[in-house]
Order: sequence, then C-alpha cells, then structure tokens
Amino acid sequence: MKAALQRFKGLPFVRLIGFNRVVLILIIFLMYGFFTVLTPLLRNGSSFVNYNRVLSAFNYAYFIGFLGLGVTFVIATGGIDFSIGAVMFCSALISGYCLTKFHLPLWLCICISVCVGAAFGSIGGYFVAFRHLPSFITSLALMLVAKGVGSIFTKTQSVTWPSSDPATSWYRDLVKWNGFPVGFVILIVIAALCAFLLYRTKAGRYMLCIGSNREAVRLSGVDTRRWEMLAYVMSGTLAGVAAIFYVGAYTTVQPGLGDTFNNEAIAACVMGGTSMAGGSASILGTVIGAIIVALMQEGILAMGFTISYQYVLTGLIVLGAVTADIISRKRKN
Amino acid sequence: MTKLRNNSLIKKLGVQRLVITGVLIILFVFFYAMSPSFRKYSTIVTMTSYMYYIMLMAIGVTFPLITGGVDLSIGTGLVCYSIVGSFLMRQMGLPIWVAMLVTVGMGIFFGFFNGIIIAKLNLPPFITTLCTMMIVRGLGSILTGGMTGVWPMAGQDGSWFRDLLKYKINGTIYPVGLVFIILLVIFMSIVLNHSRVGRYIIAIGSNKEALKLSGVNVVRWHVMAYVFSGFFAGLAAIAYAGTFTSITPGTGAGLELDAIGGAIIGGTAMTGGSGSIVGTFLGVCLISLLKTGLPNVGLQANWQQIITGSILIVAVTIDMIRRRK
Repeated sequence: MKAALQRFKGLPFVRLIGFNRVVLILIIFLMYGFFTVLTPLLRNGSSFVNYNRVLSAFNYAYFIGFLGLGVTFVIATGGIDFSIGAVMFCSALISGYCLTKFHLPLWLCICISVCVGAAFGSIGGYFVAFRHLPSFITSLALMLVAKGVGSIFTKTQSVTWPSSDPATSWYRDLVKWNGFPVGFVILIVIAALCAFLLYRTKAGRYMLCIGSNREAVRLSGVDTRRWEMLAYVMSGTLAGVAAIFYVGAYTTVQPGLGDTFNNEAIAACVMGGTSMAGGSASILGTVIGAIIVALMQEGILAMGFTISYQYVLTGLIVLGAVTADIISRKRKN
Repeated sequence: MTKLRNNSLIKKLGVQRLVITGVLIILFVFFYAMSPSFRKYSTIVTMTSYMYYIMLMAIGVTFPLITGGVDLSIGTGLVCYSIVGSFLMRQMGLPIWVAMLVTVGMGIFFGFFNGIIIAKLNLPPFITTLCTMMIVRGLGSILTGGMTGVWPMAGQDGSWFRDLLKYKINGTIYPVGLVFIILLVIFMSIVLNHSRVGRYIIAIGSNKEALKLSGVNVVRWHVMAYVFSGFFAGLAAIAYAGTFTSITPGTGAGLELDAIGGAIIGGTAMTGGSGSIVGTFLGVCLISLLKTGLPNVGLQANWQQIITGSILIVAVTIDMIRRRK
C-alpha cells in the first residue's frame, strides 16, 4: 500500500502538479458523486446531474477564483487581505453606475472596474508595506471604506448591468458564450499568467521570499516594501477583474455587501495549499480550491439547505486546512 | 513639556488618555454649537444606547488585543447569540432570564472555542476568529430556522431587561446603563492591572516565551483572554437586543471593527503587551460621538463606514509611529 502510494507520488504527472493537488481533484469528483447521490434522496425527484448546474457552479467559481488568485499573492508575502470581497462589489457598483447612468462605453467601464480595484489595492499596500500596519486591520478598515464608497457613489441603490442590448452586454460573453464556459478558459489563462509572475519572475520570487524570511531579503539589499506593495496591488486589481465576472454571471450588485466572498476566496487559497505562514503558495491549488468552494455552494443549495450552511462549512474547512498546514510544518521541523 | 509629563496626575492618567478626553470635549462642543438637533436630550440618550453594545464588545476585545491577538467573531457573534436567546423565549417559552443566561453562555463557549484553537494549536488569531465569525454567522439562522429574533418590547412580559439600560420616570428617560458601564470599566480595570489573570494576559502580549519559561501555564491564561472577549460579546448581545428589539440573522459583520477601533484609539497596542480599559472606554466614547454627531452636522449615514475605516487606519498608524520612537 505504502509502496504503491510512493510509486503514485513518483508519476511525472503527479510530480508536476503536486500530490496535494491530485488529492484535491479527487475530492472534486467525490463531492460531485456525493451530491449526485444525496440530492434526489433529500429532495424528491430533483437531480444534481445537469449541465446547467455545472455552468452555475462555474459562474460562482470564476469570481471566487479571481479573488483567490489575488489574495494568494498577499498570503504568499505572509499578509492577508480581507477587503477583496467589498472591493469587488465597490468596483462593480462604480463601473456599473458609469455604464448605466453616464452611458460610458463598456470597454471603458471594464477598465474603470479594474482601476478601482487597483486603487484600493495600492492604498492597502501603501499602509501595509510602507507604514508597517498589520495587514488584517488595514484590510478590514479598507473593507469598510470600500462598502461606504460603493454606497455613496450609487446613492445607496443597487446597480443592474444591461443584459439585453448587444452593444452594451458583450461582457456577458466573457463568462458564457452560447452555453460554452468562456470564463473558465479566461480563468485558466489568467491563472497561468499569475503562476508565471509568482514562480518565474523576480517580483514573484521576492514576494515568496518576503513571506518566508523578510529580514534576510531586506538585508540582502532588496527594497522589500515595493514588492510587498505589489502583492496588494495584484490582489486589488484581480478583485476588479472578479467584479466583471460577478456581474457577467449575476448582473445585479447591491451596495453594502460582498464581505462574505473574501472568506470564500481565502478558503480557496488555504485549501489549495497556500500557507497562512507565508512563503509558499500554489496558484493551481487556488483555482482548484475555488472550484471546490463553488461546487460546495451549488450542492448545498441543490440539496435544499440555506446559504447559512455554506458559511459554517467554509469556516470549518478553513480552520481544518490551516490546522493541517501548521501540523505538517511542525512535523517537517 | 517634560515637566508637564512628569506631573503625578498626568502620569497616572496617561498622556494619550488626556488627549482623547480633550478631543472628546472639543468635538462635543463643536457638535453642540453646530447642530440644534444634537442639542436635544433625546439625541444624547440615543447616543448612549448605541454606545452600550460597542462598549461591552470593546472592553472584551481589549483582552485578546493585549495578548497580541484579535477577536473578529464578536460582531456576528453577538447577533447570533441574541437571535438564539430570543428563539428560546419566543418558540420554547422559556423565561427571559434563562434566555439571557444562554446568550451569555454561548458567548463564553465561542470565546473558549477561539481560545483553545489559538492557544493550544497556535493558529493565527485573526484567521481563527474569522472562521468563528463565519460559523456563528450561519449558526444563528440554522438554529432558529432563519427567523428574525424578537426580544420583548417595552410594556411586554419580560421587558424589565430594558430598564437595565434606560429607566423611564415620569416620561423622562434616564440612561442607567451608563452606571453599569462605568462600574464594569472600573472593575475590569482592576482585573487587568491588579489581578493575576490580568497581569499574565499583559505578560503574554509582551513576552510570551519568558512567561512560559518561568513556569506559568500560558495556555490557560491565553484562553482566558478570549473567554473574556466572548463573555462580553454575550453581554453586548443583550444590550444590542435592548437597543434594537428585532435582530436579522446573518447581520453584525463590521460591528467588531467599531469595538476594535475604540480599543486602539484608547491606546491598546496592536502588537500587544499594553492597553487599558479606561482608554478603551474613552475610545468608544469618541467613536460613538462621531457616529452620532456627524450625521447631525449634515454628513450622510453612508459616510459612517468610511469614517470608521479611516479612524481605524489613522489610529493604527499613530500607534505604529509612537511605538517606533
């Protein structure tokens, strides 16, 4: 048994993506099977196996995935970003308001959304990297600011992005085009870019090094502040991207909400093997984690439970994942 | 300036607390002069009833902050506890004192839960209490079937718990809750500064390793800090019920930031090891004053979140600069 496991771990494919990621992919299939069996039992006649359900789970996975990718950079540096959910909503509200009330062209509104995200990321990054504020308290404060800015900009009204006019609704094709999940392809492409940035460029290597030993990086003459700030800017920018995919899937955004999503994005990260202690991160793991979070949400709703169960489960999963990470670190030392 | 600092009275109160008291007085005079609606007695009473639950949470969260941690679960926690309490009263027909006991008991339970995970398993406090925040957010509606929690209104059976906060004599409302708050502040100050548990909690924040090496059971006192936080969140749940009567499940996220902000303004260090309950009291007074006063001088209610967020960042930045010196 042990020898078989060792041989499996040695397979080139498994070595390429990491054993933990293989386990996570297996978990996705197990969960799918679990929901397939349980849904008809709990709710008579309804079935979980349905292409629309897959699409709906994907819709949720996109924006959680983008949020997760962004926060992966921050967690890699040993920080945390609790503002991304609220920033995503703020971006969607401001750009949507520009689109529907000021009638700006759609491409410009998409740029605005990304820029709003980047702006919040820069503010957070400045205070954490240059002013040495604790990242969690800074991002919590920014979460409040983002919620407030969103409400004030839209005068506390929800914004519905246009969905019928082809001239102003092509953004929906980014999510789904004739039933084909385009968003998934975009998520994979952006994830690949993030992986390249994190593992193959100077910026990414510095971020990871800051997470594992900040003092050593600083003493070797690197301006750690700049690279640490970049992680927060990435996180904010990707929250702005996530906003487009959120409205692409659901069209309507309400002010004052959005803070539950950062918990789910963080859950996707830690499940995927990014360590809360900083210094090690897995982009592929975050994408798989986002799919697990989305599938879990779809399954819980399909089985007839309320969203409250999702909150409780996400909390327990993050606790479990972080505990497992800490125990495995202790064993290694 | 140095001479002034060495004055015994000032030394005892602390410079920062004197500064906050000064700011409080200036702001009060400013709002009093600028806004006629602020001058009404009822505005002051409203301000105190919004202050109670923030104050209780803040007194509690000062303890984890002093250990160098934080408790983010108190905001959604108090909503959850108070919904479960009202459920026991309305659906189970239990007397109100049982409901109040259960409300506080749940707070203690989740405080203990946080404490064990943080102290025993060494998980980062902010991520642990974030998870608890999510768990209690969902738990309130799961346990009660998603119903809005309703506590007895004035004049109904069991509405005596409201008299603990506001007492009405001949049509005038007296904010008696303030008396309890001040007594609690004095009592908890003594606990923090002159009891074993308080001294150990401060020591955990300043040098945990040294405390451990001197043979103290660090885990036990570390857990106690979070139990305090949970207990006060439970008390805050009752004060919240007294202020708002009906409570929607799943809300409450963000309330903890008012409390944490109050504690930080009051001089509790984010890095742990120092803090004071009197400072927390003054900090929360400042936040409540701003929250009540600013809408009265024409700032929309929407600005409140931005104000709280900015105060938080400014307070932590000042704390960081002060400690760098």
